Amino acid sequence: MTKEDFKSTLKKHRADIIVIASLLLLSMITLLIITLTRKEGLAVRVEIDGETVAEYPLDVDGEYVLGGGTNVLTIKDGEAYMTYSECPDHTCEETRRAKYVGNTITCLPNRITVTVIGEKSSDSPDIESW
Amino acid sequence: MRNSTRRLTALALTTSFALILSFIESRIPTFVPIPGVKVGLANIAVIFALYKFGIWEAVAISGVRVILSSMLFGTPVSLIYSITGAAVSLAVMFILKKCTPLSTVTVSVAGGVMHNVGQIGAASVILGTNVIIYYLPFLILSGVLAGIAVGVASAVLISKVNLDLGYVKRKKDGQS
Repeated sequence: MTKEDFKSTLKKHRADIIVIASLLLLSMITLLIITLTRKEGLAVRVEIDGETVAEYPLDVDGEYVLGGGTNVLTIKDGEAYMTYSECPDHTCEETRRAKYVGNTITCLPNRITVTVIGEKSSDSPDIESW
Repeated sequence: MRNSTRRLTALALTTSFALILSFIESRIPTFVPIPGVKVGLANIAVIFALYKFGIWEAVAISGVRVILSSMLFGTPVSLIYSITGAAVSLAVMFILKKCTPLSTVTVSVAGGVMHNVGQIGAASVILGTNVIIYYLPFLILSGVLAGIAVGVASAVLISKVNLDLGYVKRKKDGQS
C-alpha cells in the first residue's frame, strides 16, 4: 500500500475512524473520572430487586447469606466479594473485589446488587448477623 | 412477493445461524467478570439480515433468536436484559445504516456498544441502581473490540453470500 492509497483509505473511512476513536476516548474519560474520584467505602449495601435488604460494615470480617441462600457475600480486609452464587453464569463470583465507594457486585440472575457506600444510612434496616 | 419460499427458507436459515452462534457464545467461558460483556457472535446473523433483507426481517430474526436462546441457554430473568440489549442495538444499527455513510464495521461497533449498554441499562432500571456508570468504560471498550470482530465477519458474509432471492441482483460473471 502506497502512501496515497493509505491517505485515500483514511479519507474514505474518516467518519468511521471518528466514531470509533470518540467511543474509545469516551471510555478512557469515564475510566479516568472513576479512578480519580474513588474513595474507600465504609459499608456495603445489599439490594434485591432494588430494595435495600441489609448493610454490612466493611471493617468487620464476615460471611453473609443473601437472597435466602442464593448467594454468599464475604467481607475480609475491607473488601467485599461474592463467594457463592446459585446461578448459571457465576459472573458475580469472578467480579473484582469491591472496596471503593460505588464499586458494585451484580448478580443479574438473582437480581442482587452489592454496592460499596461511603456511610451507613440511618433509615435502612440494620441487620446484624454475627 | 416473488420467490417467497426461497425467502422464507433463507430467513429460517439465518435464524438458525443466529441460534448456533448463540450456542457457541454460551459455551465460551466468561473472560471478563463484568455483566453484559460478551462477544455478541449472534450479531453477525442480525447484521447480515439487516443488510440482506431489511429492518423487519432483522427484528424478527433477532427477536426469535433472543427468546429461543434465553429458553435454551439462559435464565428467564436474563430474557428481559437480552431483549432490551438486542432492541437498542438493532435500532441504533438501523438508524446508522439508513442515515449515515458509515461502513458495516462501524455500524457493528455501534451495535455492540449499545447492546452492552442497553443490557446493563435495563438491569440498572430494574434493580433501581446507578451501577451503569462504573461499568461504562469497560462496556464501551469491549463493545468496540467485539464490534470490530463481528463487523468484519458480517461484512465478509454480506459480500460473499448470494441469497439469490430473485430481487437481489446477481453479481456479474461469477465475481464475488
